[in-house]
Amino acid sequence: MNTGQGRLDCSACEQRILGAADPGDALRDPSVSDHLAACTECKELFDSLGAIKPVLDRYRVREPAEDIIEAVLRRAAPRVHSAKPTPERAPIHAGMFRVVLAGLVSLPLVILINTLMGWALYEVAVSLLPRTIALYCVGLFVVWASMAVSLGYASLPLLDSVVRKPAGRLPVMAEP
Amino acid sequence: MGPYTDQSDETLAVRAARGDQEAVSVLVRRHSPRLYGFLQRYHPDRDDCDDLLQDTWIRAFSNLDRFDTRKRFTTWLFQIALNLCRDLARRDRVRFGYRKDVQEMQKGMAGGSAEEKVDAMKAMQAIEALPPQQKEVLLLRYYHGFPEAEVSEIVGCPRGTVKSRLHQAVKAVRVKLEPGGGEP
Repeated sequence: MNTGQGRLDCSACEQRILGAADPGDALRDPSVSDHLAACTECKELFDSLGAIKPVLDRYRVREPAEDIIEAVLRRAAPRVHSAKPTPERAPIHAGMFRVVLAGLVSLPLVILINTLMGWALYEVAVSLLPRTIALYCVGLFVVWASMAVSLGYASLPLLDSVVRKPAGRLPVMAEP
Repeated sequence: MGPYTDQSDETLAVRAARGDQEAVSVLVRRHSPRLYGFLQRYHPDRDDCDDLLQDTWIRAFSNLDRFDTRKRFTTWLFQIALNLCRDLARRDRVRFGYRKDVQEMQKGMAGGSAEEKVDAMKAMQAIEALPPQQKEVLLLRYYHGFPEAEVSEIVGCPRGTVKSRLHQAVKAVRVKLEPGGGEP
C-alpha cells in the first residue's frame, strides 16, 4: 500500500480505476497518471484491467432467435393481465407525521367545544352528585372526548393516504 | 410500433402493467438481446439461455406491479435474471458439479489471430473459474457497462463490496493470463 506517491493515495486511485467504464478513461485525471507512474501496485491493477477489457469485448454473443422472442411474447403477455397491482402503503413515518399534525391542529378547537359541553354537563352532574365527584367525572369526559375527537380528525389524512395512489409504485390507472 | 419505440422503459412498463400488448412487445424486443448476452456469459449452454430468457420475462411481467418506477427498468430486469441464473447455477452444481462449456465459449470468440483467440479463451476460462459473486460484478460492470451503483443494486450488496469483488476478480484473471499462470 502506497499512500505518499502523487496526490492520490492507493485507495482513491483504485476507486477511480475501477469506477471508470474504461480503464483508459481514468488516465484523463492527471492525479491518477501521476500516481500510477509512482505506484507499482496500482499500475498492476490498471494493467490487469487493461488486459481484460479487450478480451471481454472480443467475446461476442448470439442474438436471441426470433422464435424465442415469439415464445417469450406468447408466454409472457398473458401474465401481464394476471399481475394485480397491490398498492404499497405510504411510508409509516409520513403517515404518522400527518396524524400528529392533524391532531395538533384540531386539538384547541376540540378542547374548546368539549369544555363548553363539559360545562353544561357539570351543571347537570352537580345537581345529582357531590361537587368533587361531579367535577372529576366532567373533567374525565372532557379529556377522553377531546382525545377521541382529535384522533378521529387525525385519522382522516391517514385514510386519505391509504386511498390515494401509492408512493413509488406503478401508477397503474394513470396515464404515463 | 411507431410512438412506442421512443418511449422510456419506465413508461412502457406502466403501459404494460395496464395490459398494453404493444408495450410488452417493445420492451421484450428492446432488452432481449442485452439480456440474452448476459445469460450466455453466465450460462454458456444455449438451451439454458433460451429457458432463462423466457423465465426472466415471465417473472418480470408477472411481478410488474412490484416494479418501483423510481428505479431503472433494466436494473430490475437484470436483478430478476441474475436471481434465476444463481438458482440454475446452484442446481447445476448439485447435479453435475462445476461445468465449463468450452465449446460454447469458443463459438463466441470473434476475429483475431490464433494466438489472440488462445489468450481470449484463457481469459474466458479464467472468468468462468471465478467465484460467482466476482464473475457477476465483472460481467455487469465491464461487459454490460452498468454503473457501479446499479451493479450494487443488481447483485444486492454495498458499493464497497462491488469494488472489492471487482478488484479481486481483475487480479485473479490477470494471474491466469500471465505466461504459465493458472497451470498446476
